[in-house]
Amino acid sequence: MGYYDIDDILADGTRFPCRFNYDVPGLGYLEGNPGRPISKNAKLELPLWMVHLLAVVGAQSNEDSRVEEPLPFVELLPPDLFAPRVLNAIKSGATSLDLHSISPHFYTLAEKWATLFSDKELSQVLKDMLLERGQEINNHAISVSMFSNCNQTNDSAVFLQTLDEFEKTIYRDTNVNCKEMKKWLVLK
Amino acid sequence: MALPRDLSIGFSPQEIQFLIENEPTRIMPRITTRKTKKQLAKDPGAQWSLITCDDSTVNNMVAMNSCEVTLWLALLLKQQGKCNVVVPSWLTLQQLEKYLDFELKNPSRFSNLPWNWLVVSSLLFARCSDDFQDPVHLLRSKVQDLREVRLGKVNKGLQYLNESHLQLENLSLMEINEMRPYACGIMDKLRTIHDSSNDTT
Amino acid sequence: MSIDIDDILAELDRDTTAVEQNASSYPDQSDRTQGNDVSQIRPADKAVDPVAPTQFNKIDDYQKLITHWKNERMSPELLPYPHHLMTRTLIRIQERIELIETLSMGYLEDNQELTVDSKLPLLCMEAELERLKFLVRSFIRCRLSKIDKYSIYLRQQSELPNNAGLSRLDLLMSKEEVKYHMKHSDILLKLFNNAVLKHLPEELQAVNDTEGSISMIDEPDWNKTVFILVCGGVVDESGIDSKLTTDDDGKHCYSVIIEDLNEEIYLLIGAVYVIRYSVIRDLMTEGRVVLI
Repeated sequence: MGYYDIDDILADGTRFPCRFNYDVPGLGYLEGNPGRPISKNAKLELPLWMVHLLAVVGAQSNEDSRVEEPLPFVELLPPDLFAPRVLNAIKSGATSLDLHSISPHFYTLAEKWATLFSDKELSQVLKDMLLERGQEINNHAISVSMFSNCNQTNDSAVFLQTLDEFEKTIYRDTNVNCKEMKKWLVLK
Repeated sequence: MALPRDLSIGFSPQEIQFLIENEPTRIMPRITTRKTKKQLAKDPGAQWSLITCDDSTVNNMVAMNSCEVTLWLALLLKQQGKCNVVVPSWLTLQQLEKYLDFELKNPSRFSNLPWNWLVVSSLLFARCSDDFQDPVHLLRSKVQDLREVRLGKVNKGLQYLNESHLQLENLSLMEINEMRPYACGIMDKLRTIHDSSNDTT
Repeated sequence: MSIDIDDILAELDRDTTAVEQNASSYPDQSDRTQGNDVSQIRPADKAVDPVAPTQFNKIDDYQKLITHWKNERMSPELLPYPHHLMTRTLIRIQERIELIETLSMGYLEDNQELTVDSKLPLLCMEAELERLKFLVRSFIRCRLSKIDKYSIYLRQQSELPNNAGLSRLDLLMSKEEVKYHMKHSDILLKLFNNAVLKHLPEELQAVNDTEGSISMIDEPDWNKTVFILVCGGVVDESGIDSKLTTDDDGKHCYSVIIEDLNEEIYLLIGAVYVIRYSVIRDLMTEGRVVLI
């Protein structure tokens, strides 16, 4: 994605639910209780960039130093983002789904999640959704006239608000290209 | 910064036009540039000298003898009133009708139109409308129909985008450039999604 | 041979700062594939000077330049700079500018009846010059934007131990581009340092840290989707195309493998494909496919 990619950085800020596997002193401020430790099995919502690291790095357990894989600091719980009801909504009607309200960075987050858990099913759902919604985006993007002030009908505007950030880039690129093309055809 | 974003994704239509203007086309010159030795000795500066294409043709033009020059040169000469452009053989009502028939009869394939049909037809309609034998407005509407049918097929064919590869047959350069931002964007994303769950590292 | 090519070039070298007369001796990729340049019959004892415009077919050079331009625009990485080709082209442009100047001066002085007829060659030459200049400018702009984008990556490449350091950059970029790259990355790094980095703790001050989950160095996207046209027609010394095979239908094609998907694809000659860049990169460098 690129180190400096803004969308990636914003997506990393999304909070994910997780459960701590240890008592950790001094991190109480994450819960809103500064000065107090976090107890084991506490459930918190932490940003992805933090959770990602903590879920992979394990603490050295004092009692059992021969454990092969030390237990990670936190355990990622299944977020609402990829809950079965969302996946079902996608499978049944991807084009009419308001993706922006689920998450403005849905594709990026889903990719990161799929990488963490090698979730092939999520991948497949994502691919199918992309193709379906993509065609709808393409239809909207090419059906505008070359004058930018009289193009968007209400439907278009409403549709655009349901797109996530990646889909918006696709829409923008296709739209600009199409407008240039139409301008050229007329002017030459 | 040095190159705006739209140009880093694909070409602009004007650049496609530039590329296609380098291709040869037949013209019927109205002037004679072929000079005898005596005339050459008198006025050597009037010889043409081109650095990107062959100047021997243009230096040896005889009026009403058709010859082949590059498209941009032909359009320039036409603009100066020095030649008539010979309309390519595929740009007649009859031929366009055949292409249109093929397009309509074969919803999953594209007809064998030349690589540059959209650009050449647009340019010739705009600048050489008097060189056509068939009425230009009819030709224009046929070209428009062809374009719409093919555009519809391209858009339908976008469902076949995948993370591996795609083979395109008989699409012109301009049509390829039209679908480029969408096709590349979607295929790149499909590829990253595929890689994310199949990461072997 | 009493006339030395250097003398001829020196004549042109009046106050032309734009043209590199003492061009580098780096070979061009494109010159290699143009092995059978039969349009110029060269005497066997005269060595081929790669930057003398008269020894190379101008039409072929132009076509090569267009191919380079298309490849550079569509490719995600910075391609090697065609040193000889660009030098020849720039020399030609320079000659042409001077010729046009002389001709138009001649017209002004003569005070003849200036018909459009007599100005027509001049008009066409000017139009052609503008086209060529556009091409060269667009090519250089594209390269500059890639140099900007990948400046840290290029720096890293030049510091690799097995690449003989800077000489690799010299192959990739022209002298001016190398200078630009050095200065630009210096200015940028200075800005980053002064604005942000020097206020951070020491271990976080690096700009080329590759140890985190995302590398700080932006590499080109090797797997970017590109459109290609398979043109083939590249033969080696024995006159055959070593990579050409036939598919099940007996048609000529090149065979490539997409490793991530374990797929083998046959690229038919004359067909257009949409495919990832890494798969066809070698074919493109050899000239067997072009990006469109």
